[in-house]
Amino acid sequence: MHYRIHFDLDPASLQGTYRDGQYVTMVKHVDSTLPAVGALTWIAFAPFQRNTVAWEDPCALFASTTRLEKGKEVEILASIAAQTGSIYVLRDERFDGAMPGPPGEYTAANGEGHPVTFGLAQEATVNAVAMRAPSVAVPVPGGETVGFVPSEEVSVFLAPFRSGGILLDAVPPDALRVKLSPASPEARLAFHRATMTFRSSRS
Amino acid sequence: MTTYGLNINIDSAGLTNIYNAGQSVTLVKSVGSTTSSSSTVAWVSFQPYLGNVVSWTQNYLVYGTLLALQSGAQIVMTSATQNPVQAGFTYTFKQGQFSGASGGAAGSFNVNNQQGNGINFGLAQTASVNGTNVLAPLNAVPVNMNQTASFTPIETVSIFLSSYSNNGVVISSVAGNALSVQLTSASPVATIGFNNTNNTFYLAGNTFKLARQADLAIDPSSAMLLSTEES
Repeated sequence: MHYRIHFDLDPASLQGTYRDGQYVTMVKHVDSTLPAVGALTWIAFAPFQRNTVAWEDPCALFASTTRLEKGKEVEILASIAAQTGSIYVLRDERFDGAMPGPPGEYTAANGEGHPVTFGLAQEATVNAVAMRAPSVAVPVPGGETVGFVPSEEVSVFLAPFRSGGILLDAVPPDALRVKLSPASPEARLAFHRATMTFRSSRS
Repeated sequence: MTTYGLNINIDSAGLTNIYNAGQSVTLVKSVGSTTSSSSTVAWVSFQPYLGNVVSWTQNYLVYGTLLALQSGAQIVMTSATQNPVQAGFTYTFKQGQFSGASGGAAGSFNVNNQQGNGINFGLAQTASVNGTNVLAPLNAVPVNMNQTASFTPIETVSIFLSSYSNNGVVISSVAGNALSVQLTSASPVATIGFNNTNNTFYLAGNTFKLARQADLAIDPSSAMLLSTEES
C-alpha cells in the first residue's frame, strides 16, 4: 500500500519556519512488546512550498548500540529487511536469517550477551528524495525478544532537528496526529501560521 | 503580448494509428541554458483530436525541484515563483522559496541557489491545449549552492509522437523524426499536418491566427477538419 501526506506552505510560513530554525518532523507510531524510550523523529526536512511525504509498508529491523539520549541520533549498527511473522536473531552484530515468529509482528531477538537497542526503520520519499530512518527504539536485555507492530499513524509538527532518528522525550502536545489506512491512504494537511502547527484538511 | 500557437490537424486514419499505438502528441520547447547538463523535458503531451489548438504567451515561472532528473520522471515543481518572472533579473532561491529579484544577465531568466545542493531548476510555462490550461516545466538543470543558472527560452517547438502521457516529463532526447517549428512575432502561428505513412508531423503553413475550436467544422467528404475564417 502506498501512503502519502501532502501539505503546502505559503511564503510567510516558510519564512517563519526557516527563521526559527525549524524542520517539518514526523513521528511514526509503532506498538512494541517492550517499552520504547521516548519518541524518535522518523522524518525531518526543510520544507518547500509544496511537500509530499510518501511511503509503503515494508520495514527493516535494526540494532543499535547508541546510548539513548534525548537529542541524539540513533545510529544503526545492523539492519535486515524483515517480514511480519518472523524472528530475526542478532548475533555477532549481524542479523541471522528468519525463524517463524508471532504473526503480525516484526520480532527481534537479542543473541548478544548485553543489552542492545532494537527498532524498526522505514523508507520514505520526501519531495521525491528517498530517506530511511528508525521509527522506534527499544532497549532489549541480552537473550530477550521484542515484537513491533507498525501503524500508519503519524504525528506531524515543527522541531529543531534536521534529520530522522533523533530521540525526543515525547511527541509535542500540539502535534497533528494523522491516521491513514488502506481505505484512506492519503491526507492533505494545512499549516496554521499563527500557531506554527499543522491542521487536517480535506484529502 | 503576442500569442504563439500551433494548429495541429490529424485525419481519422492518423488518429486511429496514434491511439492504437498508445501514443500522445508531445511538444518540447527549446530553452538555452548556461549549463551543459540541462535535461530535455516534454513540456506538453496530449491525446489528440482531429483539430488541435495549442497556444501560449511569453510568461514564465521559475521553479525548483528535488526530483532526480531521470528519463521518464514527471517533474513536480516543489517551489515556484508566484508571478511571471522578468528577463534580465536573478531570482534567489532560499528558505524553500524564490525571494526577491536582482540584476542578472540581460535577456535571460536567472536563478541563484542559496538553499543547498541537490536542487534542479528551470522555467515553466502555461499552454492552452485544446482549451485546457496546463502549467508545466520546459527544462531542468542542476544548480549547486551559490551558483547561478541562466535560461533563455526560444520560440522553437519540436513536435513528435511519444509514449509519454504526462506533462513535464524528463525524456532522454527529442525524437529523431520530430518536426522543429520556429515561430516569430511576425509569424507566431503554424499549421501542422500529420503524415499517416511515417507517423510524423509536417509544416503545413505559417499564419498569424490560431484556429478557434468553435470555428473548426467537419467536412463529411474527407473527415478533415477545416478552419474557417476567424472573425
